[in-house]
Amino acid sequence: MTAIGRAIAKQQVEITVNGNRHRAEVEPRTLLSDLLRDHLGLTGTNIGCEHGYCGACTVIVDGETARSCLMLAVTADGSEVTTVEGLQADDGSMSELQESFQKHHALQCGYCTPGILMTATELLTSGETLDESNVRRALSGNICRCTGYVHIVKAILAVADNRAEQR
Amino acid sequence: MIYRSFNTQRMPDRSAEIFEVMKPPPFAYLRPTSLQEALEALDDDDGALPLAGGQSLVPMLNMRLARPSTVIDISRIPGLTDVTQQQDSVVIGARVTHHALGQHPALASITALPRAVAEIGFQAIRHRGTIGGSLAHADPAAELPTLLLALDASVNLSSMAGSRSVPMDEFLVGYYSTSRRADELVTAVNLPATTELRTGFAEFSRRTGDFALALAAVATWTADGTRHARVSVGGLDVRPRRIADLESLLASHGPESAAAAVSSDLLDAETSASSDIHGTAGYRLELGVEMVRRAIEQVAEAA
Repeated sequence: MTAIGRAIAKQQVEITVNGNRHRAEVEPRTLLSDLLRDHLGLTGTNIGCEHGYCGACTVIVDGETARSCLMLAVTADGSEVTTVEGLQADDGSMSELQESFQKHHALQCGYCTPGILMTATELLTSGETLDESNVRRALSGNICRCTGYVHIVKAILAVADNRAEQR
Repeated sequence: MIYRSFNTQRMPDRSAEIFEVMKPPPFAYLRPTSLQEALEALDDDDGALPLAGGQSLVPMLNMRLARPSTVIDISRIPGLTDVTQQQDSVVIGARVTHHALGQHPALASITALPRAVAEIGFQAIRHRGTIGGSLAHADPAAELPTLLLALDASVNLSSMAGSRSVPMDEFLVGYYSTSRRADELVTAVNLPATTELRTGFAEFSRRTGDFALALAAVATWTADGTRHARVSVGGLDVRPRRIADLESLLASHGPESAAAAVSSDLLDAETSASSDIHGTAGYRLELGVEMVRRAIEQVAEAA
């Protein structure tokens, strides 16, 4: 096979997304963000800068947040991915975090929101005691042009406080 | 004012083609499961590039600044994520992630390391970005090359022709350029064992996670009965630079004297800062002065 032939030859990828196993055929250059959006129809993950800066494409891969625009789909072969679509309960009701975002008006256009929800999900399981300062620091990798982050921080802290109270 | 729509023709349905349009240019993909396999693949194809965490390479692919013929995914090769204590050194596997680096118990004596790692991009980047990748990419304002220069580290490179270890000062050549040959893979970083190591690191960027405008790493340690020092600045040239005058002053007269001696002129003599939209050369040098002072202060406090 010619070099170009090898390059565009598709590869099999097996990937578990939000608990469901999928198989897809992709070119090596297909990004995970493109696999999720175009091949699997999960358009909750948004594409912003496509070089790792804005955070709109943030998902969780094998338990850790990752920029899906910086992963080749082929490298995610065998991995478990959670996208924003995976946060809701099986009956479709919103997660505690999503409800808190709604209650605290933590989104306007909503474009950054899926990425922020994934970052917040990881932050809330980190075991750190959260305050405004470290929440803002954790959000530094997610650009939001609408909200000024004020209500986003409130929404996340509300969930953290709730969980602390429940213990 | 009324804007005319220029698109008055119906676009033909090209959704099938658009579906296949992707941002990186085409390349072949290999995922070797052994170091030998990877080295053979690199040897075979001099347009091939290794892929570790992808946090530097994939942005370059997405923007088509890199056009490798083949991407060699080294993420499944065993043995590249270990941190091992040897007699005279600590050996850090090339695929140790930034996140792991900042928390590893074997590296706890390097207090500047978690400080430096905390400045690398964002958490998602730190989960996947690796020490080997950061060094091979050699961004002029990257944290790890600057810090590792101050720690007198050396880089282990392997190829079908054998292995070699290159001191950091020799490894970092220039703007995104290192002495790694196209057929070589960065396999590990060596940190010499030191006594009474004290380190400092400081960086200035306008927003959290931005590339630094200026950064400094300082290290002092005892060897052969004398105090040794390294002062490394990044963001002020095409690669991190050591400031020799400050090093001798720090080693012989201590942190207070060294901190007092730092000046823009002193840094300017050893660097070649350029002006760009992020700041003028003069501004970067002034920031550099402050960063060096802060790093020296941390070293003083560690005593």
